[in-house]
Amino acid sequence: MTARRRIAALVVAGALVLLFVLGGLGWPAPPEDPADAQAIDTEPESLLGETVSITGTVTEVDPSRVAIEHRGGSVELVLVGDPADHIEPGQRVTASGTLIGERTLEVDRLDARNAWEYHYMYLISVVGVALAGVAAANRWRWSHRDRALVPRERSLLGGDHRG
Amino acid sequence: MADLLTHVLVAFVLATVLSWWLGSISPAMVAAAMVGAVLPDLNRLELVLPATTVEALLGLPWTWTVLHRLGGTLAVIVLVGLAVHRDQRTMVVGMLVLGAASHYLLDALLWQADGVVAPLGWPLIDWQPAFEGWYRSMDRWPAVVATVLVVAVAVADGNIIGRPSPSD
Repeated sequence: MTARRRIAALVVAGALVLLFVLGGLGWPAPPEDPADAQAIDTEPESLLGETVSITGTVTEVDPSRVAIEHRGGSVELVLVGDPADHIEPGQRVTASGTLIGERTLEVDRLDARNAWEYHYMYLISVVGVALAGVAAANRWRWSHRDRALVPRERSLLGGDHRG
Repeated sequence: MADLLTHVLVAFVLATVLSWWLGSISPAMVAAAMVGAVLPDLNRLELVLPATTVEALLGLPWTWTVLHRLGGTLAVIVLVGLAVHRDQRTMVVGMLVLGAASHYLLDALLWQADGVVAPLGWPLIDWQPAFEGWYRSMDRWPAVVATVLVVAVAVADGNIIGRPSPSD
């Protein structure tokens, strides 16, 4: 890697670290949805009547009660409204609605999933990463002479030699 | 994110189809597009090294979500591009952008609780239109559709791993 490339890489890496920090600060706007769960836990009165989004695990039904984890711990919410009528304990729900009480959410939109569906998502994603990794290793190599990634003249798994 | 397998397969399909018209898109460049499709999900570093741990170590606010946003992905693409030989750099950056763009396009179609597209353009583009969403990351059908597309494209292309050259 030439000195110029090394300096450029350092500058870009520095910019990326700055973005991590700015994102953590929520500047210029939060890169993620507002930390509703934490706000519900610590200052629910400030969110009364507001639309909030939550993700959590169903702990009880009748009434539907959901445990929501957040950075600082967890909080339980009671869900009311038609979309919350068909959830089951153990499911993971993502929902949004209006906070009508300090621990009560009137649900507008809700999606409930079983644990195995999350396991499927992670497993299939590992397969995706492995596929991309094999494709890259099959077609690219590190050249010590050039100190850079270069296309292989022949793929590891056979096939053409066009790089 | 849609599931990562879907992202990688869609990038393969797009890059392979483009290679039918652009001779400069070699199998190595198709692989680069597949890698580009993975880059936005580097935010899964959160599972290995939680942002709260980084914050405690550095004493600074921190979020890995940046890696799943336009600004963070562009920075990562430039970093990867700098590691590539200069002869291939421009093309590789283009293919990484193609893969990452397809990732963001698929993620913009995700169901979100609040009914609006996630702030994927942060911090460069503030665009979050209302959208009902077509699927969630744990749905199975996107990967099935993507797999069918891959098989169709691979058959049309002649080889799923690499096209045999006349000398092979």
